[in-house]
Amino acid sequence: MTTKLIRLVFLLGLLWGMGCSQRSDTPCVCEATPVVDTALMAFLSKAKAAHHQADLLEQSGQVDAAIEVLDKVTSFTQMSDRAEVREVLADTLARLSDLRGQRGQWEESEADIRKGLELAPSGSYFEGHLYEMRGVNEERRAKAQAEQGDAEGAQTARRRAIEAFERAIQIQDSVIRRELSDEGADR
Amino acid sequence: MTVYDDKGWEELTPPTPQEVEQAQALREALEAGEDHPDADLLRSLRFLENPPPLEPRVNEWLVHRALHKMAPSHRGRWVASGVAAALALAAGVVVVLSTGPDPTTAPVVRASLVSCRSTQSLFHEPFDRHGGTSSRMDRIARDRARDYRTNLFLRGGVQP
Repeated sequence: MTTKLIRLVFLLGLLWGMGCSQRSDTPCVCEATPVVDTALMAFLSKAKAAHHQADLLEQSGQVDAAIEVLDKVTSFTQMSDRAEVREVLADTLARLSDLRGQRGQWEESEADIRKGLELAPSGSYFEGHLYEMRGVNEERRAKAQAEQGDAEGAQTARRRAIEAFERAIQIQDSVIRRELSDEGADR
Repeated sequence: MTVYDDKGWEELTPPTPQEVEQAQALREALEAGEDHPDADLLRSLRFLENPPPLEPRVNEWLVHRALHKMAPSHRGRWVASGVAAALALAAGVVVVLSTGPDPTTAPVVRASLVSCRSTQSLFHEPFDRHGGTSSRMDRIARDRARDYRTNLFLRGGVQP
């Protein structure tokens, strides 16, 4: 009974509150988009620290430790409604894919790329960079398979590398064209 | 705008011996790190301009605390539901009783806060094939730190 009453009060309040969206001359809290706040800054700080830590580990040859540090960033699944979070995660996944590619972890590096492409905005440098990294890893894979005597596998990987690089170039071209037209419009 | 804006330094009243003496005492206190009624304020201002590096453990703790707030506990959710119900009811009453928009109300401040958005506009050329991710992170964090400060001021009712 009490629970039903609470629900009823909540529903009434909610409906009343939603009524404010009909006022066109007042900005409404229910239309709110996420704003730059402490949680976002904390995430950015964490990502920044992790990448600098990964730099130092990479420089000292500890690639596995660098992967482990960056994995802690990409395992974060909250705040996906914030563009900054999605783009930082996409960029971090591109770097992770590169590191895993260096270790010959082909499947894992491709999984990072796929995850990153789901997060990166379409037609952005972030998306283009992910395709480029896919190309780099397929190129590495082709070389490794050729050395192992797997000519067919190497040929397939080479074809995928070419396709990925081609896609990266198309995306980067479209971003550059858009940038230049924006600059022209600003003048 | 002060009354001195249209005057040259040479036209200002010269400092009194007492003012010179006080300034000298403040300077000595700052240099020697001693106590002085105004020295603490000036040291605080210096930290504002050039803050000392944050201890990694303190930084980790702050990040953990901020992110922890994102995931309320089970009990917290019940409390939040109750508070949300009360707030929704109160919001409804206010909206029904109000006769028109008031520019000083919170929604206006909320609407003017800097929103989350793509960071693409911070970069004007394709990313390097290898490396450069850390500097991109630095750039994004630096840019959003400015927005964060702006929002802090706006929430405090100050136009930055």
